[in-house]
Amino acid sequence: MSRPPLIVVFVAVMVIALGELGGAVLSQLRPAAARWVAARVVANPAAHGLSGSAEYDEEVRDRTVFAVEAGLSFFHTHAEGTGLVLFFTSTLVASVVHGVRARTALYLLLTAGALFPLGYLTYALAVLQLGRDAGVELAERWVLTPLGVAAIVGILGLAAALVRRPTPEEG
Amino acid sequence: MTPPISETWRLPPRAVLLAALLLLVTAEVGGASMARFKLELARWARGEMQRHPAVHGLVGVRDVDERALDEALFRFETGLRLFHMHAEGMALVIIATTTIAATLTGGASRRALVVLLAVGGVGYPLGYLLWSALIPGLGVERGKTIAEWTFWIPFGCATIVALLWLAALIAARVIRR
Amino acid sequence: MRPACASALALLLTILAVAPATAHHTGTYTPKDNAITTNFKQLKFSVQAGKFDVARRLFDDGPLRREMRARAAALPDGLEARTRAAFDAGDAAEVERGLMVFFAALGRDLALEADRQLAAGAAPAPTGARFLEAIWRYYNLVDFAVSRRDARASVAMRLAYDDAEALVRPAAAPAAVSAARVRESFRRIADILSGIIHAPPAPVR
Repeated sequence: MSRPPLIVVFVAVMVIALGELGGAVLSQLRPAAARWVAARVVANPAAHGLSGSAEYDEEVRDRTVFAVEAGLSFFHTHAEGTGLVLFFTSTLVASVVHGVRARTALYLLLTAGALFPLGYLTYALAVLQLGRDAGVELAERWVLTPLGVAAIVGILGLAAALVRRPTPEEG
Repeated sequence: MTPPISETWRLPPRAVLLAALLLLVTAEVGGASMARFKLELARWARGEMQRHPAVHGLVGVRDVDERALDEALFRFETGLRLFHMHAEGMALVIIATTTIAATLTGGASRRALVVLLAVGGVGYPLGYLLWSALIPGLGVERGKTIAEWTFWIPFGCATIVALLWLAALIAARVIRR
Repeated sequence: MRPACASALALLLTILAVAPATAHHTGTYTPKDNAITTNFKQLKFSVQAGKFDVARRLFDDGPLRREMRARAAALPDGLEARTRAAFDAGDAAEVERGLMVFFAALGRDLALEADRQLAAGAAPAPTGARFLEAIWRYYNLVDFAVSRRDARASVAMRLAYDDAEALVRPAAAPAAVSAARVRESFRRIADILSGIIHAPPAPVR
């Protein structure tokens, strides 16, 4: 089977590598990460609605640590997956899609889609800086939705190209 | 001078593909076994835990011990589930990344990368299987420590190092073009 | 080469012996109800909904009544019969009181058992913590019912529990936990719960 352009392969490998690193951070560096997140919450009291009451603030801190860990966990699982999706779908594009423009468009869409997990990383960091609701909105509007749409459109485009591809008899 | 790279994918050695497929089969069989033998596995685990009361902090009172046993059983089942998920995923990662390494790198780098990716990918999920096996006899935390230092850290590091090395080699090729 | 291998092996064994695995997120455990607490919740919600026939059936066939019978010697005389009669009469307050006494008795027996095990030499911190958890799991279900009948007992129980928890989970090292003080706290909890069990029926506020 034909291979896709080097830059596409590079993005696939990098996304998988970052996913593995995310998993390592989640496991080996979890206590240090939790401490750092808690410190960031305390440094940003207005964004998190801290009240100055120890019991309430501790709950807010724990919730935020959980939200950041969740974002990292989603980043880990999705990055591992979208990296592989990019590898296999771009190989299909290289092998079965004719026409430079069609291939280029599909490579662009699929590569952008493979970066979808960065939305969860954005979410994890945005939650720290802006608070939970604002963080979710920022991640969804500017990263998850556009990149997710790119992935879906890319895969649908590949499917359409497969359907339209002439069979050996048609030549 | 950098040799020209193939425009088609070059498969990795057959042994690597077989290892990945074996891992995939083990993951699938593991998943099926978790469902089919759920009761037997839980019974075995509980029996072993009760044979090691000091390890699990059991005090011989049902109302007190049921929580400790329930949590240890939860961790036992979690380890099996994580093995199933990671083995499925890592098998595909091995196939994809060793194919990339076999196509886009050469010489000693190619051999080293293929070995690191294959060995790291196969070894890492086995850590979860080991952890589950050790929980009934050694406890959740002790079992986790052993699995961490014998499987997760060495094999995980091997995979991460290999992936970053592979990415760096591909980036170098992209820049040279 | 052999000395290097031996050193590496020694290092690995040392790490395995001492290094805790505080990392590696493997999910969050949510404690489940046991058969008795599940049955209690079924009874409570049925009574609250006014469906005494359903509640009576759940009580007759349920593990809570079986446990009441198994522990009859440690419970006030006729507790099971009175509770059963309350279901028949549709008396929600008396049903609540019967179950309150039952769970207070479970907690008291656990406190006495904890004292016994600590006297026999069990490690105070881990053993005390486990018993406290188990006691609170039962008492928490009936704390509201206790507070409606005897607010002082409810407050006393909460304070005793907090004191005991501070003793078994101190900010200082576990070695600083005093077995004698932990035993005393469990005896105090047992006394309070005994008072709740044997208190005469009081009007519900």
